[in-house]
Amino acid sequence: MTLSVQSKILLTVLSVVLMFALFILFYYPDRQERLLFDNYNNEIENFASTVALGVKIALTEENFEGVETALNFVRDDSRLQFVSLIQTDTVWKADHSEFSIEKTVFKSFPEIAEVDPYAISNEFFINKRAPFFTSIMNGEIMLSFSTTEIIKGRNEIRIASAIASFIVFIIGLSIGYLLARNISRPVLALRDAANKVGEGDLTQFVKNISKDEIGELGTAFNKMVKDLSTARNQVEQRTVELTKEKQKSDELLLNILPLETAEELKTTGQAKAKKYESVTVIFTDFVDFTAKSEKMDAHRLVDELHHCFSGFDNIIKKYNIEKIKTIGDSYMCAAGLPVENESHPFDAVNAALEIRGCMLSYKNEMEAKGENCFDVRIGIHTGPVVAGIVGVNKFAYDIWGSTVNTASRLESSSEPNMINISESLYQIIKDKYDCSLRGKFPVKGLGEIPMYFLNGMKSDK
Amino acid sequence: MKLVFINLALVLSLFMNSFEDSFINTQETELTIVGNVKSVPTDMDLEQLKSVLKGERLRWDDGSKVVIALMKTDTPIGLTTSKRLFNMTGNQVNKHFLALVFQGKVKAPTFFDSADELEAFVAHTPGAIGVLRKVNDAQLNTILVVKSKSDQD
Repeated sequence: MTLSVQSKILLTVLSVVLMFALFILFYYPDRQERLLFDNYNNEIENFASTVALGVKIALTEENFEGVETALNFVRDDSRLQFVSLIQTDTVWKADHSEFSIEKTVFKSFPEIAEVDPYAISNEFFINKRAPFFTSIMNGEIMLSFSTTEIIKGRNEIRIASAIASFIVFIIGLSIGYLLARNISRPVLALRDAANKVGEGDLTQFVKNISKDEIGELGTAFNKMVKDLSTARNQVEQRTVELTKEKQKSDELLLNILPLETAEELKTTGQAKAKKYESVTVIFTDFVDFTAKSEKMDAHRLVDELHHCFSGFDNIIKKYNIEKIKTIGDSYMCAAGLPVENESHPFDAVNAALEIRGCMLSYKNEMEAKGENCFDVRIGIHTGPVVAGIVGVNKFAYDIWGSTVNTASRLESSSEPNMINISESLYQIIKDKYDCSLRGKFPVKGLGEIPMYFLNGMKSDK
Repeated sequence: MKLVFINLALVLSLFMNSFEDSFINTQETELTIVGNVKSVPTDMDLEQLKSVLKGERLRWDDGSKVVIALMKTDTPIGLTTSKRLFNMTGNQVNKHFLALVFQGKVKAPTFFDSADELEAFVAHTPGAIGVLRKVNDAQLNTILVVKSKSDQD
């Protein structure tokens, strides 16, 4: 059975109080009674001795003042049963072989009292004797006092002790209860508050009324909770900041890598290369970029590139095309990865058309301002590639395979502001897009391959 | 205060006829009862006197207490007093008064070693009566005691 703090304190105090109460109830009255009886016995003995002395003086010196005074004092005592002068005589047998001591009552007060000279004390009377020896007479004074008053006094002591014991017990119980409550209440409040803090509620606060150790504990608890709350707020704030930073990092990473590759890299620490059976690769390049760049201001050159490539980025994003990289003025992207899909050829074609359209618009705009603008060549090919990341520093998502080379060759073989596509792509899109056969053109490593110009969607016509 | 002297010699002489000669000592026969002038009556017969001295009478006619003054029983006067007035030995007289005192019946007599002290005590204590040797002092008044019946016969 588990006892609460309040119960423990109450039981402890009650134990002490109970012991004290029992002491008052039993031991103290017993001691007092014994003291009372002892004092009473002594008092009677003293009376008897005084009277005996008075008798002795009266008989030996014929001075009765002492015995008169002593007897007057004794006779006036309401507790007196009787006072007797017992004469003791030595009685010899007729043959004087042995003797006995005989006691006879010489005189008693009150006179009517029937006195047994051999009487002993009992519960009702205390008999005390004091001998005296004179030449005239030997004897003893026997005093008998009633125990009524003593018994009455004893009962009064017991009643008073019982009342006092009860009062002490009640007072002790009250004090114990108050003490237990005063101690346990704040402790229980602390316990409840601590439990809630443990559950995450850092708004807990305990009221401190006392200035003792428990009050100090409460103050320390409140400070602890406040500090915890502050720390948690700081952690939360920091977490938010870190989350934002992570988000930025993720965004930056996603800027570099495809989502799936970035997730794989974050999860496993590496990204495995993957082979894609059918991917459409787009290459773009600005016509005479090198020559024109020499004539342009460096800042403007970068701005132009940024403007164009930003446009390309927005376009390919619409079509879920993955940007691979830019190499100088070349822009490479691929549709159908990292998540394989069936629409990649069409996505690439649509993106290429939009890129060309965007560039043409920009060119018109710039020429209207009297400024030069780039023409773009676009090449697209569909085929298998291997995609992945290589290196440990400044790594990048890249694709490898003949498809990439072919797409690049198609771009370089294209005309300004034209989209040059391969046979494989043509075969896929020919039903929906208008293409023009250009003929066969040599491609390094592949010999001569047919190339087509993508004009637009057949519905555009 | 003046003492009232009661010539006991006269009283005792009347008794001489009733006692054997062996009891009579020339010196012992001469006793004088003295009493304080206040309360103590001037005339008492022998029986009354014995009664008073034995403590049987506690108060005088005027209500005052009887105070007995005696010479100690080991003195000649005391001895004679014990024999003639109490008809007891000295020890018996002490026991007699002890018994009375024990029961609170009488105030115990005051015993004196010297007649002068007794005389002075009686003179200054109202209600006091004592027994002394015959006083031949002419300056002191003596009062004749009432004769007994035998004397009157």
